[in-house]
Amino acid sequence: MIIDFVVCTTTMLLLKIMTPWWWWIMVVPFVLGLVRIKSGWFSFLIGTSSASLLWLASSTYYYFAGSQIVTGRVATLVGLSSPLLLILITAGVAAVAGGIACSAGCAVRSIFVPLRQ
Amino acid sequence: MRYAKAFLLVIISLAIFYLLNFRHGMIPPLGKFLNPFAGFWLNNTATDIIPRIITSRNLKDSVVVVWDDRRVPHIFAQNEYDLYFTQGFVTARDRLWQMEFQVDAIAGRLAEIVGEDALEYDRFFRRCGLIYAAENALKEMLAAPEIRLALEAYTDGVNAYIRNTNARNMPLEYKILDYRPKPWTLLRVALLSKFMAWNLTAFEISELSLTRAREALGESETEKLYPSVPPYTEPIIPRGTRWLFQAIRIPAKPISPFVPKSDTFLLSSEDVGRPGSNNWAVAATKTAAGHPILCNDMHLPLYLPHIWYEIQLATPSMNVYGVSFPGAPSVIIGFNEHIAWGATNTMSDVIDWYEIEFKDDTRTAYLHDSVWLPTRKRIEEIKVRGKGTVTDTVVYTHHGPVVYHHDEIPFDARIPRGSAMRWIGHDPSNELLAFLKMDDAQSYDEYVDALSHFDCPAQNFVFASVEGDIAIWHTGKLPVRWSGQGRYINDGRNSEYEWMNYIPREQLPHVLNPREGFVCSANQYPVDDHYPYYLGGNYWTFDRGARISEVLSNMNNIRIEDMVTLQNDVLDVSARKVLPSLLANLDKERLMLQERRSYEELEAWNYESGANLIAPTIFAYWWDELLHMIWADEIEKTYGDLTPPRTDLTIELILDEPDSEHFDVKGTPGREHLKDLVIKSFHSASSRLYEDLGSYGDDWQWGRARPIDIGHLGQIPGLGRMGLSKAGSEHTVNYKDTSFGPSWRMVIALGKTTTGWGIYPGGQSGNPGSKYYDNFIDDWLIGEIYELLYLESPEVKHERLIGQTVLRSIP
Repeated sequence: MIIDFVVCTTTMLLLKIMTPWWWWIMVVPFVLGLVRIKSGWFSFLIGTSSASLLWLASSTYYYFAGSQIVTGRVATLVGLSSPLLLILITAGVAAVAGGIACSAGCAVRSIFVPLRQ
Repeated sequence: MRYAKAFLLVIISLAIFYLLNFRHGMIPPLGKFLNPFAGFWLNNTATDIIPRIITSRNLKDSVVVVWDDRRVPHIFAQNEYDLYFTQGFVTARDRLWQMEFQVDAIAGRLAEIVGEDALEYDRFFRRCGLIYAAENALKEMLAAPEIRLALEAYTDGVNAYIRNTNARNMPLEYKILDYRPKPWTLLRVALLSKFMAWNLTAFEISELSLTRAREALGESETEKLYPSVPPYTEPIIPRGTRWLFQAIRIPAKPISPFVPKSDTFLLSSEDVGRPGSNNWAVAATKTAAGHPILCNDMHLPLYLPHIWYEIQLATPSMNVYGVSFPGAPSVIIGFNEHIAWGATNTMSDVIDWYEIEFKDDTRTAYLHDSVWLPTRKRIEEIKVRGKGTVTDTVVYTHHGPVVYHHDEIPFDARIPRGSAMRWIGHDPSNELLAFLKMDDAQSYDEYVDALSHFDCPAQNFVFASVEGDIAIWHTGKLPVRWSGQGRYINDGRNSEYEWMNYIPREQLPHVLNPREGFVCSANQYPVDDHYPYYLGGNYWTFDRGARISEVLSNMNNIRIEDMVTLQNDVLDVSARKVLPSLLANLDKERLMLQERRSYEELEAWNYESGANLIAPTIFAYWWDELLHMIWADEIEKTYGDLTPPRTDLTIELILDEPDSEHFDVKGTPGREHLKDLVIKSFHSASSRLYEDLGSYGDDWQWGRARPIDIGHLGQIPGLGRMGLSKAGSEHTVNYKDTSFGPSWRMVIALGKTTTGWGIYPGGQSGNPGSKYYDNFIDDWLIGEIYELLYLESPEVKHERLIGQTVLRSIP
């Protein structure tokens, strides 16, 4: 399981560094679910934890590496009391997107390969 | 079951993708926007880092850009192409979104960005012919080779930067609104000049309101309440100036006034802010250093990113410093080694309305001097985001476009329906040439020559030179009018109502080295009765001009600090004129306790609109109530369409005609006099003060009671600075309105080595995540000003210089 988590997170990290597309946090977990993961619940867990961890860690990094001003302004724009909530929302969006995509990949796989109970 | 589950999860995944990948209403595409690897997180202070080397195929030679600690670029190029290319490049690097949004707004292209909500806004600007105006200007510009070079170089520079942009480094606003920059074009530079022309000439379209007033009150009463020359005005050109030229023939006024169709009238419109400004120059004889000093502060709408971008532009033959418009080459207001110049709006009326009689509903022909003339139709295609393209046909007459027909509801209620708009801004013109020449001018004659190319928006250009000359010209393309022409809606069928000629340039109001030892302007009426032409306009009240004149007349051995103090002067001359006679009508002993405190505040007031004073707040409340009481019945007579007569006129009435009929409130038994209204308004202002501001205390301070907002250009919440406490009022030299104020304060001391000071309420970077986005605002609020680094060469060492960018040409 840990290996799935590591593969998922590093693949997304590399693709995200190379390209600007946000949807790697859906595509990578989906593909991983499709080709590797054998359990429905685990697939959600792996998708959600790797995507949210990646976005949590990277947004926290940027927040402290020069993005405080812009985070503060965007927080005001969306009506949040604290810019730190934006980090949590960012991680939350990734958690939902990554988790559901990985589950979907795994569910498609289950049509062809029965899941481990 | 397995199929159903897989199907369901795939559908949910696709739905999440859809939700996160696209904009929904005003919610940005959250996946893209929150993505820490490309979203808003990257619009951070890393953009503040100065690049060391940039290469470009366009450049002919190397260019050095030196940056100071306020992020002002000082550009040193070997030739003009490289200079304006680099100006375009660095401006785009700091202000790309603003540059594009301003011209899209004036071109009626906002629906493309924000969707259907902006459709009527876009239609309005298309109908007003802003693109048509820019096309006419561009043709004229391209005919002059030096302009073509500057335009093309600047455009190449902006496009070189746009090619560098990607999903990661795109300005924040593109990410929020989810769109991409379009290529910069020569037409967009012309559109920017029309953006300024429109903002400085169309702020007060009063024909409809005045025509309405004339119908309700009669012509003589209307002329009395809304005089074309405001009372108490001390003109820009000193009284008694002799005009020795032979004026050209002034056409005769048509005998009977034209009455337009009744359905022209609509309900009252919203009040829009009025641009204003101050400028002055003092002669060498009045300064401590023995050289002239020139000052300017232009009161424009304040927003972020700020309307100006500070810059120094140097080639081997020119070295100019000042503020530029993001989107156009050149420095607009500034100084060079030889001269300094500044501008205030003349407030000239250069928009007239002509009611059109069409032959039939096809609107293909209209009546003019008993002949049916053909119209010209221009098809405007308005792209609406997510909705396809809306086409709109605009009917043009020889006057100009018919903005709204009788069966349409105008976007701006001030526009008379069924009338064609005649606007100077539609005529071919080349204001950019004036600025390019001014940047390089070395003497009074070269300044006058530069001005001869400046048509619209007409400005009072103040001037001072190292040689010791000071001057001011009220200049632009101004029609020769019969007295009062253009104040009301005109008869489009009759050529007697048209502009037949323009005031020859050399006959425009001006003065060089006057006896007074200074020249100044504050948007007031420019001349005394000896000037032969009628100058129609919506001139400012006398107060700012009067204050500047009184201070400068009494001052000698003037130093820089004195000029900064004058720019920050908050003495309200209008209040000083009228308050004593208002207080004289109150009997202090008969006031209630709370009112007595207000009375004492006013009695002790030094007439200064200081941010932490309470008296200006009390006075403003009282004055508003009094104005309302005096004019409510007259306004009711015109069904609410009339704007109340102005402060200056009301002051004149109070001081000179205390028994005027206007003080009688119609519909009440008995006749009210000034004293009755003064007492009544004081009582009601007192209760309103408590209602609005709570009990007497800090919330009554002027800065808090009337704060100013510096919002975001695209009105995106969180990206502006709102509710700021600032000194000053509409009647003080240090101007303040809810969202207008001094947009660039500049003081230039000419001399062997010219020195300059300046500040604007914003910051050099347009990136809301940069520390240079709004870093001047706090200093601006308290009246600070920065010394400008006017560098002779890129090799100069100075502790305030923080880095250099070299732009290299690659073969």
